Amino acid sequence: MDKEGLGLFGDDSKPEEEEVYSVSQLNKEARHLLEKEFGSIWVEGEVSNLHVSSAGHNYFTLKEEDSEIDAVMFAGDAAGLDIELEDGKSVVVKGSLTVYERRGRYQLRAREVREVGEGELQKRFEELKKKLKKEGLFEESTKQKLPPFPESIGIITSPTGAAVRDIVSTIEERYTPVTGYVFPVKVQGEEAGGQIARAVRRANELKSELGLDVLIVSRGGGSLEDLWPFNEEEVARAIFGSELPVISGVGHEVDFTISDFVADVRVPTPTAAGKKVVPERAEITNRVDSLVKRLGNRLKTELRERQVELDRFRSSFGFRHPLRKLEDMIQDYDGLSEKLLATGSKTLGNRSDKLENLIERLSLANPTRLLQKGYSVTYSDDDQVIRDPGDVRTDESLKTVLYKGIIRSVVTETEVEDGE
Amino acid sequence: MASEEEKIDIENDLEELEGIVEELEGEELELERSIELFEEGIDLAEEIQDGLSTAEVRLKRVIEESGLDLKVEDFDL
Repeated sequence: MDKEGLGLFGDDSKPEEEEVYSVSQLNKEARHLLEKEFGSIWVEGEVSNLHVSSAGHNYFTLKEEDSEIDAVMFAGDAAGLDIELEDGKSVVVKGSLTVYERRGRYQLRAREVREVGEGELQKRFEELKKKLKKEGLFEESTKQKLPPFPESIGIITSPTGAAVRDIVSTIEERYTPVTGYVFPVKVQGEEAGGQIARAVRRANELKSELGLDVLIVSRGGGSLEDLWPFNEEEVARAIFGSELPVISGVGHEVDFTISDFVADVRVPTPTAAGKKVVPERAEITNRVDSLVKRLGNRLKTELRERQVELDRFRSSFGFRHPLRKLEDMIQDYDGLSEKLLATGSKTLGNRSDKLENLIERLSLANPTRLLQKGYSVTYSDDDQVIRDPGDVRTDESLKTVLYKGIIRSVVTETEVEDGE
Repeated sequence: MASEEEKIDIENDLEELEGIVEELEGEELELERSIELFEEGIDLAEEIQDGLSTAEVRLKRVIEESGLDLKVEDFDL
């Protein structure tokens, strides 16, 4: 009724009954609507009018013959680009539809850009990933452990690529007592997938013949299309079926392939595969070193205990004669264990001799054993060990230490041996 | 076709060496036995060291010929 009343002032009056948007409201609602309606989408088109701001944001138009849309890719997303954006390039953009409210322009906020053709591959990748995951091919529980000290490594890759060089040179830096068996395959193109899968199966057949312990499937970086063979179902199934543990090192850090998911261990690059597959020489040397030290320490302790016994023996019988031999021996020994690993194997040849010598001297130096055999030690009355009859006088009192006690005696006569 | 060259089983040697150290550190032993164990341990350590000093990785290339004949030949990068 009011409306009729208002009509009195003319037809061009504001329709107060209908909702009136402010511009900003309109843009805001349009934005919400677009964002909600479209969500995350892929759009194909050609890049034009590319402009990169000083902050690193990429502004461009995505166009086809007679239609275009503004697009922006902010610096944070652009950092993850693995292709070069340039005018005229046909791309597939993943992003969301939104409205730049200040200008009322609707635009595509790009988060990912791939070259044309990759969109389709990406889809196939996601589908296969989903399917194999459902089948349990990626289950942690099916993963095999890598052998800590492999002797033979199967390397499935191109014999002419950079990957095989990276792998082998990395292994060589770390640990050399291994044999690498290269299974030459194509790593891109149509035949590649079949060849890789066959090589995985063949390596398993040759497992015992070649003594293989572990497999690496690998190639260097490339576009999604280049890496594609490693996303093929046949390859995935061959890896899953492998009795030998499989390391997958495909592409660069950011690339994930189906073979990465299904392999027992995924590493980002061929070089990383080389690192993963063998232990480091220094680690083993350190371990051996510390074990040898423990061996040595234990023996040293025992030798010292033996010396304590000797000291006790010596003092209980009033030995003045310093039994230095054992101390010398321990010293001899001391250097031995450190030298063993430090000097390498050449000087180790003498080791057995040294040890035998050590043992011999040990038993000789053990006075208890000597006394047991019937030897004895005789001391002058001022407690000097007597080695020469010339050192004693007639009527001098002597002390002789035997295994089970002491004899005191008096000198009646001395005879010095000839030839001295 | 596995290599005829003598292989040193580093993993096994390490385990044995560890066993020896444990035995030596365990209960009281006769000195003679201790020395024996020490010697065995040093032998193993030496063997491991020898194994690690291999100059370079051996590299072979597996060639499949049509008749499923396996051929392995030396491979230089």
